Amino acid sequence: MTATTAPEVKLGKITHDRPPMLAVGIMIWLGSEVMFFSGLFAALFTIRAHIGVWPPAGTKLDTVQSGIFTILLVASSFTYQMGVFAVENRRRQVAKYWVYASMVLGILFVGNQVYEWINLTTRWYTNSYGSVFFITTGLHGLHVFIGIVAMIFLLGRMKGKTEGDPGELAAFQGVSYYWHFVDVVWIGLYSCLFLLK
Amino acid sequence: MVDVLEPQTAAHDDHGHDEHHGPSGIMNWLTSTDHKVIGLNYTVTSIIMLVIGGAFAMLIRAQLTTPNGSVVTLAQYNELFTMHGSVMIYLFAGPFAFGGLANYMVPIQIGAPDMAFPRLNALSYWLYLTGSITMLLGFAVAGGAANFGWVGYAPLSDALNAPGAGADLWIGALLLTGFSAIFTGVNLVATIFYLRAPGMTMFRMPIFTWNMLVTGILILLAFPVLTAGLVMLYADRHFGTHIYDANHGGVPILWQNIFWFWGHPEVYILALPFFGMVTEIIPVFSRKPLFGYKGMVFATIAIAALSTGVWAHHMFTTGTVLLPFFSFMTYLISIPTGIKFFNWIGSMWGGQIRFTAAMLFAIGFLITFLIGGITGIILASPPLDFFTHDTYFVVAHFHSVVMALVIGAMAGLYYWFPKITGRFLNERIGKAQFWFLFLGSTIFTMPGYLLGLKGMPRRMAVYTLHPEWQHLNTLSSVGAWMIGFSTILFVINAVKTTRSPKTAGPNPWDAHTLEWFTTSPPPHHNFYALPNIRSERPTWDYYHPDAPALTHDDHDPSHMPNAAKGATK
Repeated sequence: MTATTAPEVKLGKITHDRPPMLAVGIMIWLGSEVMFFSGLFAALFTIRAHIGVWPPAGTKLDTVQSGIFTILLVASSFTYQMGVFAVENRRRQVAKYWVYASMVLGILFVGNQVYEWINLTTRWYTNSYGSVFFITTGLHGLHVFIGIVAMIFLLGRMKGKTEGDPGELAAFQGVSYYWHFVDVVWIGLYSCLFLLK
Repeated sequence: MVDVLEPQTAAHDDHGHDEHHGPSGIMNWLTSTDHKVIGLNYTVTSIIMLVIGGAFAMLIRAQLTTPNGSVVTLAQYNELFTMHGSVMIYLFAGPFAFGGLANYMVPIQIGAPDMAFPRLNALSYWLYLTGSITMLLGFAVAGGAANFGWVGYAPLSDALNAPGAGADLWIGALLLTGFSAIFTGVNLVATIFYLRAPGMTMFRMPIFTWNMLVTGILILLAFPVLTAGLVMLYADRHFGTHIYDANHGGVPILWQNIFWFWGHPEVYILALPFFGMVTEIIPVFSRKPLFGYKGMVFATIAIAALSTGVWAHHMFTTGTVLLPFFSFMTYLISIPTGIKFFNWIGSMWGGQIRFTAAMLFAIGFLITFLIGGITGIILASPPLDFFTHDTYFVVAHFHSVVMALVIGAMAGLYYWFPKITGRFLNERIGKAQFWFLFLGSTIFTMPGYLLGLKGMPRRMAVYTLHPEWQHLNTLSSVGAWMIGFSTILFVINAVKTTRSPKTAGPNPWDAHTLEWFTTSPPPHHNFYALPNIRSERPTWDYYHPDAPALTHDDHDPSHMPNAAKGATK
């Protein structure tokens, strides 16, 4: 190995002496997102308690198919976190591949959501259960979509640059917090809509 | 001790003296990400909203001076009371408090150059302005503005009962201003956690900054829940969902729960900033340190924590809530609030009080807020609430509270105006304004309590069957008009002041906190130099090195005032 290619090896893992401001800000903002979904869950449980039979007769949900796509969304959290580790270790090209993988998993999840929406016999106007189902899964799906858009911006930011973007890791971490959060919300939503009888 | 620059001796600094980088004039106003410019934009816009909302109030009070008023039609009256409440709560009180003066002062009070996310801060303002215009556009559409009360209860706000576009504009405006508030909350919390100057520990922060930290956290807790409720309301109105629709398994009362889960913390989101302002002002004009600093901090946190568990006291009469629990929680809030009153009085006790306009407003705030608070305790008792629910007693109660906030806002404006502009507001006009505002508020609210006990319901445009209510109503209207006149006095004072010389200097009040260390107005990025921050009164310590403040968290005896005196002998 010659001296000119050495820096890549010599530079150690990127660390911060304190968390980046962007990451702190996103953490604080995610607190408000928790409360946003709390409002939706409040509606879910209020209506669930009110209508007695949950889900109402005639509701057909494919728990297994949605379960498979739940696993895919959870997997995307792990692939994205691998991307964060890769950036920390200055392997930016590898990190990009992990982001692509996470995006594909996210798109698959949203694709299944669209398929489910089209094929459900219960519609949002059928009854209050349908309203809750479409509003909660719809707003969650919107969050997944926004996460994918954020990843596109992240890839755009990394495009063409070699080393030396000081905010890159912070941006990576910020998106990761958001992506994990959206993932956790789905686990709660899947449990309440599909598993809880 | 004097080991730092004089604050005003850095005119040749390459930042220039109180000049902004980039464009000036209107373009600066449009494009700036400087928290001071954004804070001023917020302040001016929200005062315009105060005038608009106040004009609605003047019309309402004119309508009620006779039992069968014909100033407006019944339909117009519904729009007026809805838009009066909405403009005042969503577009004036909150944005003035957490977007205006807090935006301007918090970074300076902690020695920061700007907010943590300046562009997000600019986005907050533009969302707020867009939302404000959106709400007011309701008057321009067919069917008129929203007319279901500022609380938008289901099913009054559904597509059947409120078919007009005015209701949709109202929902859109709340969503826009809600996002604006959330982003401001993120900015406040991140700034206070992250950008404090060296030495500015949490327990050396000014109480105003502490209150804004807690306000920011409350915004993050409360506003998103309202956003969720509004999204569902909009879906019910336009996409045919049935969340609040009792005919198809929906739950109308869910809206009340969601709305008040936002709505009660919102009361403290509005109140805490003004608590903070008054806490800054009273010690300065009593020439004493604040009495009970840590008590103030913990009282603020306790008020915020309790405020998230009391929302159902707005719903006692629905029969769906646990009365003893919510009543007890509501009573509990009076304890930390009482601690605050004790500390405010303790700060004045034995002090050399200077009765400037700002101090008068601060004292007026205490008295008016006390009346609002005590009647709040009356309403926290379910039997008494059942008797007075939806009457003018409730209206008078929360108007005592919010008029206290308006008086507090004036205290803050008179206190910080020299810092923001370099000019003093006229004290004589200020004192005249105080008496009109303070007495007007009292004359306006007191008849309301009596009318409520007599049974006058709120939101009634006429009271033909009860002509005996006219005297009290007229008296109340006179009070309201006095408040309106006081606002005109303020506008005259502010406009007149733009022609007066800049005589304020950095520290005209001999104050305590960091914003009084820098120039008036502060330069771009706020400071040329910072003093040593060894207590919660760094500016006082700098100007009075022989009488430094006691510190809370510094146990080095050489920093104690008596030890320092002993050392010089």
